[in-house]
Amino acid sequence: MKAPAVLLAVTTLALAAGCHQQQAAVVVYTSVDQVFSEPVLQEFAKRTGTRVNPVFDTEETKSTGILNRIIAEAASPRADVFWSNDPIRSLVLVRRGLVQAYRSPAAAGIPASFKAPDGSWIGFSARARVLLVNTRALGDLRAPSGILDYTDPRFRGRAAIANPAFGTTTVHLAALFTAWGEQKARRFLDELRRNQVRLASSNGEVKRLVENGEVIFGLVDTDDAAVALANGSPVKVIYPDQEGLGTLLLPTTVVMIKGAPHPEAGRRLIDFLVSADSERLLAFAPCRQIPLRPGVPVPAGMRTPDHFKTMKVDYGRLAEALERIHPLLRDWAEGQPAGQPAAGQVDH
Amino acid sequence: MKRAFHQLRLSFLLSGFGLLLVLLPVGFLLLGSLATREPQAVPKWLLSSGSLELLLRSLLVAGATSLLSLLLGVPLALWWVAGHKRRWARLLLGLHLLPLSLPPYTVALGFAQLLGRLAPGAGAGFFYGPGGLTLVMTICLSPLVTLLVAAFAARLDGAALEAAALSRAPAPVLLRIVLPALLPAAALAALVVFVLTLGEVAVPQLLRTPSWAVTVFSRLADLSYAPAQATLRCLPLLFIAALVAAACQHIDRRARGSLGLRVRRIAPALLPSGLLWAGRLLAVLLALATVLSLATLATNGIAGPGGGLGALAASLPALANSLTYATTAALVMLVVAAPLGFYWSHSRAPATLATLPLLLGLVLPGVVLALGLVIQWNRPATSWLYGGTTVAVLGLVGHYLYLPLRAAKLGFDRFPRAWIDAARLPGRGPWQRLRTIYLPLSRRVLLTAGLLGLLLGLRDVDTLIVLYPPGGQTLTIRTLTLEANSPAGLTAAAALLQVGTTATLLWLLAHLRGIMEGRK
Amino acid sequence: MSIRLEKLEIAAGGRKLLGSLDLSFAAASRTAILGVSGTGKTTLLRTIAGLQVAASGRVWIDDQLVTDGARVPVAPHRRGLAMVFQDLGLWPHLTISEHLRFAAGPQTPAGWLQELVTVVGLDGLQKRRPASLSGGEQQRLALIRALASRPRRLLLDEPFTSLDLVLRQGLCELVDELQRRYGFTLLLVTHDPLEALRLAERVILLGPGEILWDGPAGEFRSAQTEQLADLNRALERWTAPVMSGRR
Repeated sequence: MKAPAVLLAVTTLALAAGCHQQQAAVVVYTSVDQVFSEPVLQEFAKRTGTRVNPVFDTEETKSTGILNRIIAEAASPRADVFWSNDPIRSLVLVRRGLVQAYRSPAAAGIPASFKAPDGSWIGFSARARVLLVNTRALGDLRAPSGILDYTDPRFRGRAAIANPAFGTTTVHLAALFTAWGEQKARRFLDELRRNQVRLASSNGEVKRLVENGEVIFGLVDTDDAAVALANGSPVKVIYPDQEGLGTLLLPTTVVMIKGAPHPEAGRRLIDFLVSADSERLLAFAPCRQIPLRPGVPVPAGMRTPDHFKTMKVDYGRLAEALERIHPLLRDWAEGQPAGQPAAGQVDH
Repeated sequence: MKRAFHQLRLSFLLSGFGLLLVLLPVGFLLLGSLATREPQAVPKWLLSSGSLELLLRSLLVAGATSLLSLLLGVPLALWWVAGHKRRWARLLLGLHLLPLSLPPYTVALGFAQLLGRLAPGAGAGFFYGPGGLTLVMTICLSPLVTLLVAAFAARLDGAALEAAALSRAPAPVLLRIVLPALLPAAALAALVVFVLTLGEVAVPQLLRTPSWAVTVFSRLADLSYAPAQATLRCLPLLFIAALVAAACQHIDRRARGSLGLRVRRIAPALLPSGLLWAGRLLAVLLALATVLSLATLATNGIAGPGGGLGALAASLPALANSLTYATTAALVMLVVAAPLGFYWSHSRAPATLATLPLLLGLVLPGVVLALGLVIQWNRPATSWLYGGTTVAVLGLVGHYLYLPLRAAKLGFDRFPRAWIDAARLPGRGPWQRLRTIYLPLSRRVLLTAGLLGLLLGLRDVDTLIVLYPPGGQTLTIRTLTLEANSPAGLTAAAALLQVGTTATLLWLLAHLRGIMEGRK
Repeated sequence: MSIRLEKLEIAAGGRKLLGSLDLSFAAASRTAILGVSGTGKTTLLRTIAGLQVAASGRVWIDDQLVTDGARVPVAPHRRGLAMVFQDLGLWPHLTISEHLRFAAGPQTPAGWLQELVTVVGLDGLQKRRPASLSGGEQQRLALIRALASRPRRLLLDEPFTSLDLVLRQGLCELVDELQRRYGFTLLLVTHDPLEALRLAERVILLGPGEILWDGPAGEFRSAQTEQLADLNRALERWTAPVMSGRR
């Protein structure tokens, strides 16, 4: 019975190898790209000796897959901490009552507009929404300077935007709905379609389309832009709407899950994540995230909020708007017109 | 009377597994969302032009993949079965078959990295779209057609073929005798290819092409959290599951009629030489495609940016996790599939009906099933089950059990009834019969069913992405999550480890079979 | 000569079965090849049919070289012969008339196929598939399928082994009648001397590796006792190593 013996041996070995993960210490669900978040979590583990059990998310469904795992697990939570790559998903959890407040002393240096007064969420290390422009494809055309250039006929069929049902583009549109009002924002969506803006599946796809010159420009996050620049592609980065609304800044956020199985270790992890050290780590990482605290050392050439005009945003209201408009965004992405708001049409 | 009781028990057991592993989780998912207002939105969605267009688009891609797989797989299978193969031909076949055991995502990643390396934009327009999706899925799934058709062709009645060859030229023999005889196997393979392509969530995301399965996934993974909509979007799959079941039933009946007593390798002279040349050419092309993708992963994984030994080592814990879930699930599936497959094969119970829930589990996207399992088991009272590896194993077993079960059944179908009757007559106890007669005789069947379970577990993405325990990321999921913004070498290293492990397992299997057959 | 074998050597699985055969079969003749299992009778038929290559030597049909050692210059379906297989090899997915139409090819008139069906008494069953036919009906279908293309040579490979005595006798008579009616060259392989004597005018007795007897059936009948003694001696010679465990 040689064959079964071999099979048994392989199984035993594999089981033995897999067993070590039973002794959990802190469980974090994160939608920050694994390649950027893993080193930070490892640094935390090294400094505190706490074992970290992470659950990472995939790119295209950014943060949302994890979010719903947390919602589905609400009856008996597994996660201690949720580290989101944008403010909205954390706020959705707050609104669903799945979060417990924690006022981290380590967050003292972070400006008040980036954290909840009741301690339910804390923002740190941010990305900005920027226009990535292919300089070769642009040719002699005047470069875009703001979001409304998407609807300019000179870029007809030559601009791309990521699917607004996912990722930071959702948040961006929620910000526009809040800033412009519903009517103007819906008109903008329909204008996008009329101007044949290409709908990409993600910011990563927008980056690829711009790098390849398949479109002239597209909205991406600063981390995507940093990777495109590092690739040596013929691109430049424009901080949009410096004359008008300002550039949207999206902090990564962290929340403590209500009923977290390891609250003590969870608090320790949050303290570390919102610290100046972690902001510095993320600033020097390839994602080049922007520290929100003044005075954190940054790589040469990085623009921090005091170097550009940022969009004034109440992140709490943004979450509310987003939950309201999300079905509309989803339907729009699946081919339906955004149309005019009608009473009772947009519900959730 | 006793026989009827046995058959009832078998049906009960089979449907019990289907109920526990598939119907209950899906039921929990639907029930849970009835409380919300979400189901009201379903009719609106089902009738919207965008979603119909998307479904049509995905059906077209799946159809094209099935058709291409048939066009490639059938000549390849016949070339394989015709005559003995030299070493290089076996190598070509091995390279063609390997992608079947890999997550299609891995193969797609190799191509994506290759395209990125050749020149920005070269061929990208085709690759990042339905064309690329069809291509990748064909490379990964056409081996299924090759395998099934070859297995069937190798057991065709040699005399029937020769009788045909005596009266007509090879081309009409192929068209009127060989192909119709292979039709059930080819149809079944094409249907499975269709289902797997339709349910694929990872590759369309990498290739950034809209897909029906991804919208199902997104209903489970976006802000509105609409699990009922996701589940109801799977309704068309019921129809496909029924088709698969019918094909299986048909193949069972036909197999008895057309499998000969004297199995002879098909003499190459009996088949049109053009077909054999096509088979040879296709083997070279498909092997080349595999080599291109995997060689890119190898060069990037070892020498690319972020790659190297460190990157490989960093993926080792994920490999250990993959092996843990996959081997455990494979053992569970083996323990269930072996006895049930045996009874299924030797009874006339309405087993096909009883296995329908398990078939549905296979056809449903893994995420749907997995989310149902979360809702079913993640409660304080059952946290012992949900907490660790168990729920991941449950997910894998629910999603894949049908295949090892069927493999076991087909294996046992080949047991002559006389073996079993002869073992019964001397009056030995059931344990002794099992140990002395049945187990030694079923080694190959058991090995095949077990390995099938293992490989399916190793290549799974869509079930485990929802179910893997914190800190227990598998290699496939690591490859998927690393792809976002990582240096190419780091992702390639993870994918390379996957390829290496799978290839080693397959090589081990070939050796184990060699050992077993050598002992006879 | 309808079929001529020249220094034909036959091997199977690397083992030499028959060496240096020189045989001829005249047109419209009836020959039975007798021998116990494993002497290479079936392999000989398959080589003549072109389903298998020879170890060496040649096969001529109507003075055309059709097999030359491992080379097969003329494909099986161009040899003007048909064969009834021991396992029958019926096509499970085709009906009786589809069997005949396929085997006959497009040019054959339907009247001929109908005649065959009537002659063997399968009238009214044309729409049936093999699985719904009795053993005897299947056997008759195999026989008329072989005749559908009007072959000038018919090779029968132990076609009646699995049948009971009555059926066997009936089918022998049928083959006899068909041969007289259509005049094809008949080559029958069997291990049953009675069957051989009933159908053939010439008998060839194969022993291990060689021909033990070749002559008219009438003489074979009278020489049977002596020949059987020879056959027994040959068998002992041949089976001794197998019995002692050597392969």
